[in-house]
Amino acid sequence: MSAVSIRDLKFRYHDDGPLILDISSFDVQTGEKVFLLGPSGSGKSTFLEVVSGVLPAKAGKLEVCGHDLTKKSAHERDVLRGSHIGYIFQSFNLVPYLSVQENIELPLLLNQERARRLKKDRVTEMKRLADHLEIGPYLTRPVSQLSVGQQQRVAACRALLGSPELILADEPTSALDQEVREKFIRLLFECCDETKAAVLFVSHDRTLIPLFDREFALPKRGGEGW
Amino acid sequence: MVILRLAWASLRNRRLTTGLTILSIALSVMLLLSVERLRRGAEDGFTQAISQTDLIVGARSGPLNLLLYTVFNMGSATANVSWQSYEHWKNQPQVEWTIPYSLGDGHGGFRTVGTDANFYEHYRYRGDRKVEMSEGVPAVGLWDVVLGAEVARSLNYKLGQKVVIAHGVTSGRGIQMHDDKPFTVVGIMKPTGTALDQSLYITLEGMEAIHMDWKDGAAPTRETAIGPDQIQKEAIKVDQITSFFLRTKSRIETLRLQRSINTYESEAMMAIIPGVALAELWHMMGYVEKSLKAISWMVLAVGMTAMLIALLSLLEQRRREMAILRAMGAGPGHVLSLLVLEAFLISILGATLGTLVQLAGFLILEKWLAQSFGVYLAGAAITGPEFLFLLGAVFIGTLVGLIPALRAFALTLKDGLSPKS
Ligand SMILES: Nc1ncnc2c1ncn2[C@@H]1O[C@H](COP(=O)(O)OP(=O)(O)OP(=O)(O)O)[C@@H](O)[C@H]1O
Ligand SMILES: [Mg+2]
Repeated sequence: MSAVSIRDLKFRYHDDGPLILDISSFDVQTGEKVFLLGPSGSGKSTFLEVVSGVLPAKAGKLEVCGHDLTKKSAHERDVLRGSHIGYIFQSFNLVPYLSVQENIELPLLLNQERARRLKKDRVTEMKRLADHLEIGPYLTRPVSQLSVGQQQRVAACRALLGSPELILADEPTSALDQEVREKFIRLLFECCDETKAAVLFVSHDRTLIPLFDREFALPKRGGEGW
Repeated sequence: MVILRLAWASLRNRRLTTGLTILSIALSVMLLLSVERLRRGAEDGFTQAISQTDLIVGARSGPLNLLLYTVFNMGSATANVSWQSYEHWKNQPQVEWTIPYSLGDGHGGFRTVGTDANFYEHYRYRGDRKVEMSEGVPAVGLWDVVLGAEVARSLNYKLGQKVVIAHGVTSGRGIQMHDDKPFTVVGIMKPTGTALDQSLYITLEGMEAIHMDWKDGAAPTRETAIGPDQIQKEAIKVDQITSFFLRTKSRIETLRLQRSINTYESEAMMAIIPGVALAELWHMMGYVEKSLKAISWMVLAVGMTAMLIALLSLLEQRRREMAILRAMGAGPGHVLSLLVLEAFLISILGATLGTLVQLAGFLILEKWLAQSFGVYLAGAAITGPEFLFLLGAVFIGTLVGLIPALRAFALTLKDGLSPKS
């Protein structure tokens, strides 16, 4: 089973708005790591949001982890995302008043299916992953007291815990310098290899391409962008 | 569980707004409970102004009039009861005691009551409270006067003071004064919080003595006047009183006795049951009660509106937070229960705080209220209906939380997640 399977997907924000996405065929296999690139405004973020079900796909076929998203309600997509997808946002989207640990555990607490996939108990798994991502010492701190790089690893840890089949990452490294960036991606991949998670990674930084199995470019749409 | 933790963490995170919202609810709950408790105090003070008396008896007139002039110092009797009739009823076998009341004169805006020792022994108000002296002794001597607490306080009279009774008036300064026959203050009563506090008490004989040289409602001339030292208490024959209170030996006698008094052939008399008459009168004044209640509800409505405004404005700040939760897979149920739970926590904390402040406040102010306003907080601190009201307030507060929760769903997930903020 492939992690993502797309045929003739079209997306517009409004019915009479411009066509943002028009993808005839795109597949991501289990465990495959794909680098998504394209000029600014080409729809990379929109693409991830459609794949994750944040935005509704109305036309074409979009299958994620064996579920056809075009036929699901907003709530069903929320549940599907919670249990099968780890999403690392460009702005991390951590809950500011929760501690590091509480943020990381949030998807597990909200999705029973994801919690069931844990091999050991929640806290042990969480600690192991946090140590691996080198945020073990900060678990009880409020996230607002962390550096950007640390926050980003918290976001990654949250996305990875509970072994989702698909990891989506939207420019999570833009705030980091080159060296830390590569280290982060290697760490991320190590974790994904353990659970055979597929990765769909958006970045402007072409120097990262060699780290991935494959790249996929979104065409710049006429007149759009900047 | 996770929802409870989230709700608690987010409330704690927004301590100030949360605190202010809790405070506004606490204030309205407190105000409502206070108004309600004062209302109950007033009602009790009113309907309990006289107790243990089974019948109030006077000359035939309206029952309300009889009640008003005997218990509330309002209005006056149109006719008197003869001493023979009083003796007749007093000596009926089923009668336990009677308290005679003779009205008509006043002093310094207060009413003078002529009565006897039974008043100090048997008169009861608010259940089982009796008339007590804060200083001195009951009036038994011919020229003795006892002051109600309010009389002593407002006129600033002390024991031993000479008091001149004004003829025929209970308020203001009389035109004709019984200044030839002054009384001496022998006792001052403890405050009762009833109209008792507003009267002066002398003996029936004293009342008779100041009028004995009067003829046909006219003051005596110098020749006909009788000096106070020429009068002996024992020699005075009381021939009429205004009304009397009556206690039967057994309550079942009351109705039958009332009927026979009302149909008494020798004299046109009337007996009323004070409990019934008082309740009717309070009922007639129902608009007071209703307006107090209306004020309470308006206060609460303002409190709830404040909470709604606070919750809605918080939601604007929390769009991103809600979106993050949904991005993590939180369903509508989660978000709904989170916001509703927060509203519930805020309302229950507010209601609890308001109740505690109200209880503590009245504990501190109880004495002062009784002394300054005669409002006694008898009875339970919180009654069944008030408890229901508290539950209702928490329930409404929780429902108010539904409004921002439903709004949270109208907002699209995408808007909340954009890193623009
Ligand atoms: N909420 C929205 N409503 C309407 N149009 C939108 C909305 N969000 C984005 N767009 C449009 O969709 C197009 C794609 O935007 P998107 O954010 O996906 O680009 P991107 O490839 O991620 O760009 P960048 O590299 O700058 O992040 C842009 O032309 C943008 O103007
Ligand atoms: Mg983007």
